[in-house]
Amino acid sequence: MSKLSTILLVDDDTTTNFLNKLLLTRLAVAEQLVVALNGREALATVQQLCTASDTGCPALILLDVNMPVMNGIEFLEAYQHLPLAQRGAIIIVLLTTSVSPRDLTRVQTLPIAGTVPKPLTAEKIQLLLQQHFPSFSADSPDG
Amino acid sequence: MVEMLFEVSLSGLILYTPVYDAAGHLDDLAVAYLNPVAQRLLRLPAHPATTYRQQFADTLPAGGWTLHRDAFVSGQLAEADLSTKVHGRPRRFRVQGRRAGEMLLVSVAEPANELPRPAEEALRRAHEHTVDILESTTDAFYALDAAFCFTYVNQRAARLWGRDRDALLGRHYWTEFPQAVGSESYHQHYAVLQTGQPAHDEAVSPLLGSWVETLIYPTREGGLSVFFRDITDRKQAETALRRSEAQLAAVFEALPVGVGVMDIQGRVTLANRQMQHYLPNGLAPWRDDTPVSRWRAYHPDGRPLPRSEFPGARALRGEKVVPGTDMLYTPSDGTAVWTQVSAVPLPDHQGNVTGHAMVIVDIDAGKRAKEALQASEQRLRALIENLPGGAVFVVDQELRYQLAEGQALHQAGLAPADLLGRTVREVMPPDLWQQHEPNYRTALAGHPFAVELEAHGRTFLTRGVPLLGAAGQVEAALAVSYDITDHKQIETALRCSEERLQQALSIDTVGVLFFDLQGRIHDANAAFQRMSGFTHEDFVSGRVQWDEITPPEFLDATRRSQQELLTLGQNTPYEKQYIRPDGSRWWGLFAGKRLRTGECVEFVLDITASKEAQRQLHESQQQLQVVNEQLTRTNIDLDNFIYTASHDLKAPIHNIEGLLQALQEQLPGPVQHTYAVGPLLGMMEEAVQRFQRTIAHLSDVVKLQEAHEEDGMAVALRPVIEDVCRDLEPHLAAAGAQIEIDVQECPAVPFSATNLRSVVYNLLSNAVKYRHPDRVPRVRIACRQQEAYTVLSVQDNGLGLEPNKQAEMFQMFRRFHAHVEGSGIGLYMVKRMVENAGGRVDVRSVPGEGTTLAVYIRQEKTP
Repeated sequence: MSKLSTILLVDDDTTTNFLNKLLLTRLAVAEQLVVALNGREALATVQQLCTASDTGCPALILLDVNMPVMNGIEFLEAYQHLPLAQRGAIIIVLLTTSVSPRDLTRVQTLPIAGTVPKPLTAEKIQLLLQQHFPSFSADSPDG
Repeated sequence: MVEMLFEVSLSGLILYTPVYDAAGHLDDLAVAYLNPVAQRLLRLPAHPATTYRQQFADTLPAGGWTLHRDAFVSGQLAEADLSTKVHGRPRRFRVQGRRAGEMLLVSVAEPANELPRPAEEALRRAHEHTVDILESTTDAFYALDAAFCFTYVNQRAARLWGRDRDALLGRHYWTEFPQAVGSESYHQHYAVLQTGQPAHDEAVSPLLGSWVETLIYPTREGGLSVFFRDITDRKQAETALRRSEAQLAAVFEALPVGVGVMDIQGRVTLANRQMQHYLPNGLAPWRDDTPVSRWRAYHPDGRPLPRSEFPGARALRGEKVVPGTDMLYTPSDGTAVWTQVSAVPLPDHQGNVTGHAMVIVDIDAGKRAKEALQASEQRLRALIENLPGGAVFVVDQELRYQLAEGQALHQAGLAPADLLGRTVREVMPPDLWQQHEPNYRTALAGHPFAVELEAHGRTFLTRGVPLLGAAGQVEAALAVSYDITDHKQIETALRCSEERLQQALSIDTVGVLFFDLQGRIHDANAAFQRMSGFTHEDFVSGRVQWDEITPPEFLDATRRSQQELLTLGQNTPYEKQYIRPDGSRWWGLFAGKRLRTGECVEFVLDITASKEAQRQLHESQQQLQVVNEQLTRTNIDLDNFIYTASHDLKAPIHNIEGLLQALQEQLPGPVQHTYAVGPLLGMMEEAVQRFQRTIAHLSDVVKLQEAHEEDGMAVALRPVIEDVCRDLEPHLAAAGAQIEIDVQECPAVPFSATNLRSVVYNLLSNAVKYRHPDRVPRVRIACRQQEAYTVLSVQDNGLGLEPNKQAEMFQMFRRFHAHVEGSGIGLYMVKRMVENAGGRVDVRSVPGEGTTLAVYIRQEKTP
């Protein structure tokens, strides 16, 4: 199977980032896993990766909502205004624990491909890849 | 002297006196005297009551009357031969006539050729006799010849002149008496001499200085015979008479009554000015036959009186009309005047009525006053007779009715005739005269009285006064009775109404005050005095003004209200504050009305207490609102907390779960099995799952908050129950529960389908879960309509709950039983769902017997 070039994990919880990196690494779906601890870092990372070379720009961003400094929503609002040529190719998926209808309403107006309730599992990643990246059909680690 | 002369004269001498007609023309000559010779010749007595024209009518054709008339009128000697019958035989006489003063002296003789000679001798002797007579007469006499020389002077004349008569004879008159030259007498002497006409004169003599009457006759010889005598006494008498007559005439003219004399034809022959005013055409009223007579008189019955009955006409019939007849005199200006006309006949010396005297008196003022008096009396009588419901009585000193009139009398069945002339006791029943008599006596004693009496079922007010006579003594008593029954009834009604008003005003809780449109309060009842703190005297004295007892912030409202009173007659009730004299304030609710008199009345309720309560209520409401807001904030905080907790706890527990799995994968198998690591990991995993469940329940609660906002369509109840039963089938079967469903009364429930399902699920699962270990669980699900609610109840025969725990059973995470699974969230959620939809939850439970949970779901309001 071919791998995604880069997946950007945005979460302030380092434990979560550790477990997700562990999971994605185990699944071996990306060549590069980049972690940002909040929205601002994520913005900087995206700007940095996507201007340097075509290959480094993330194909998938897994975005947490509640974060200090700049949360997921704020990131999305800022991200919209980034002058990026590759923006249309980046799939952003919101990882939520929130069931707040207020947040959901806001999210619908933002450029996201979908939401996945935490915690992230192997099944959820497989499903996500099938949905958004049909050409990259990840093999199950077991199979 | 002359008469003697006549007696002895040998000629027949006749003296005539003139008879004038009305125009003053000589109409006839009355035979005054015949001397003896004439008597003999004409066979007539000395004083025959006849006139020339009557006696000697047979001479008229021969000019006998003309001769005599001319002689008298001209004064010239006239003579003619005339024939007249004497004793039927015609006799011819020589007649000579000459005027002598106011008489005509005529000598009658047989014709000359018939005069016998002895007659001439007799004449000569007669002359001698004449001289004797002239000497013995009391009159002075002298004779002059044509040259005014004395030919004769008698003794009397000489004595008057104081001269010797013999010395005067032959002497020239005017030489002897030069003082007479140029006098009136002087000229007359000449005049007589020239004209031959005798002269009669009365004048102050230039010779004697006194009044003298002089008669001058021409003599046949061409001289003059002059008689004169002193008439001073007569003249003085005449002057006195004239003065007296002038005074009388002045009085006559000045009399305010008409006085006049009318002849037999009714022509006025004498009238004073007033009479001329009454009779401008010179005719007595009875002769005034002008078409519209100025004079009218009436019979007492009003018929006009014919002119033949007028006073003048009656006087001419010999009647004395004194006092006179009332006659209406209408002069040309048309204003009629009442007069009284009296007349008396005027007879001549033979008793024949030749005219009448008349007196006309103006009685108009008196007559009219009398008429006015009569009219006034008639009016008074009409007034008395029509006195509404009243009566008038006059009784004399003996208490006899002199007057009794009025409606009340007739209403009592009495006629005036029943009372007049009779005494009070005779007429009135005893109970009445006993009341009346003392009153009448009071009035007769000179004191007025007023008394109210009942009679004939009516109430009368009787007022009495004494009637005084001309001398001021009490003659009678006048009593006037008015029927005041109606008046009394009105008075009673008024008193009653006033009493009612007073009662109304004395009400304790409503202040009543009276004021004028200038804002001055002038009266108030006790309640308002108590409310306002002012005394009755404060109000009555007018010291209290609206403005003064009104706080400034209520002045506008007060003025608006007064404007309403003025324009609309009443004001819209309004609330305002007042200031008491001590400065404290109170609240009043006011409603006012303007009375017809311009006065206004206001009714006031003291609403200070209710205002205070209102204020406190308002305050407590405000406090409540604060608490409410706090609660709402708390609720929101709580919701946020639950949300945050469920959210923030989720991430670490997921991480722990993930880390446990990672650890498990990292640990080599032998380690896991060798050291009791495996069971520890398993227990940790179980703890993590339990934690996750709790978080899941918390999330459910959070979802519930959102769900209550969805509108609840009516949901069919029975299918929901059956669906829940299917879900719980394994539990129900395990417990052997018997379920009874009785929900026919509620085909549909107005509730969210999800929540309804959750409610049914929780209640049914609880009922089975907390079943009694000793008996088969029986659960009855029922539904009924009760007032505004659909009541869904689930009854079990389970464990039951102590009363003190019943209130706690709906709290979150509250669990009473350890022996069964439970989250402690179910009933809490049921309660929340129902209450969020406006309903409530009710629990009835008996420990050891069972529990009934009833859910009251508010029915949808009809749109």
